[in-house]
Amino acid sequence: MLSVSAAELAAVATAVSADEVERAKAQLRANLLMARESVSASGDALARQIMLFGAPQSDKELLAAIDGLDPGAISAMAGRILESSAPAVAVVGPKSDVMSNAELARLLAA
Amino acid sequence: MTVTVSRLANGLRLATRHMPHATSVSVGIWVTVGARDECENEQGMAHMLEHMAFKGTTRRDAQTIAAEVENVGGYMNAHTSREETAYYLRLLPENLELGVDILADILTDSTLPTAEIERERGVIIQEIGQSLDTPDDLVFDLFARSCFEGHTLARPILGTVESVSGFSQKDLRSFLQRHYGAGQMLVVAAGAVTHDLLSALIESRLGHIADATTAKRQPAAWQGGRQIVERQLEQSHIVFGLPVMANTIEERFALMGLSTLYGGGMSSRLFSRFVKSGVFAILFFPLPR
Repeated sequence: MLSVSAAELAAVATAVSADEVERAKAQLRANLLMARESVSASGDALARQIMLFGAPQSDKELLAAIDGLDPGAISAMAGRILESSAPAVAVVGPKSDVMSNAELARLLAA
Repeated sequence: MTVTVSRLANGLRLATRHMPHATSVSVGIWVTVGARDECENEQGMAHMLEHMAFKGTTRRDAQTIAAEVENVGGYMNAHTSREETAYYLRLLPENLELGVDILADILTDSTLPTAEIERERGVIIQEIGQSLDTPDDLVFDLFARSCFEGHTLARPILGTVESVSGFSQKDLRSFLQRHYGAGQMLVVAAGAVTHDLLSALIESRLGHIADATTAKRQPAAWQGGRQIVERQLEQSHIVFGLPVMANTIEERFALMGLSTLYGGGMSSRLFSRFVKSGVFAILFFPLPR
């Protein structure tokens, strides 16, 4: 599982298709707008924006950031994640040979 | 929708999102205290205090708090995370004053009755047991430890049986006084509400409270560790993560876009690789801290 996940993340850092990105943008946009129909979700989002960033962020600003996403931005973000040489790993389950953190780091860097 | 933010003279912040077509209002108080703010012997105290807030004030006992909310068809809940504790209500707009009064009451005038402390201690110890018996809960507590071992962020929000067993009324009162001040509180309302009305209600109920003396949070350093718990289960629950900082809105949405595309839905890459083959269930998301 870890080896496939690592390989797939590395693949995203190399290239993603325009179709995949447009689908992700549509999901983010719809999630944001549909959440705005709920008073609870709207209040929660406002609180989180202020607590995390110190000020509210306008939906216009958020939607513009979503619209501006392109394959390069997503691949670049995946590349930044892969720059870390120290993955953290947690496992609960039957005794198994989960690869070492060093081996996972090697796969991610490949 | 109009968003308005202001601050009372005592430092308490408040914000409203006026939603012209809404017929209800959500109002909550977010307090910047969570598991990461607990001392060694306080593990789980932020969470226990959240439970105790509903257990009685000078003016209302636990049953009255619940009844007053439900008498008007309202809904009340709360949550504790590693970085915040939040208390919130959803009500019809004509009951906003009642809602604000109850929220202010439970956060500033809680009596923390000893009989209720004993009852909630039992409830929380059951919760801890339930979490330990739920692999997809446990694995995320282990993951926090593997990310930040040695830092308060690595601790479970519920605390431990040992720590929770030691909390006294005096301990809880001290924690409340140290962390529940005007500068630590953010009041947010959304829906059929105006900022002027919320502001007047909050000024009247919380305009007098003082700031708290919360210690400055220590930044966490990424450890990139490893935590494995062997259990005789049918499935393995595996979480891995890597650190990355999204500093701007654009970077944050790049991260969310990546999350969606990589593992966020039935058309995502990991779903295609794993679930369609009938082997795994997966979940991929950024921990937004």
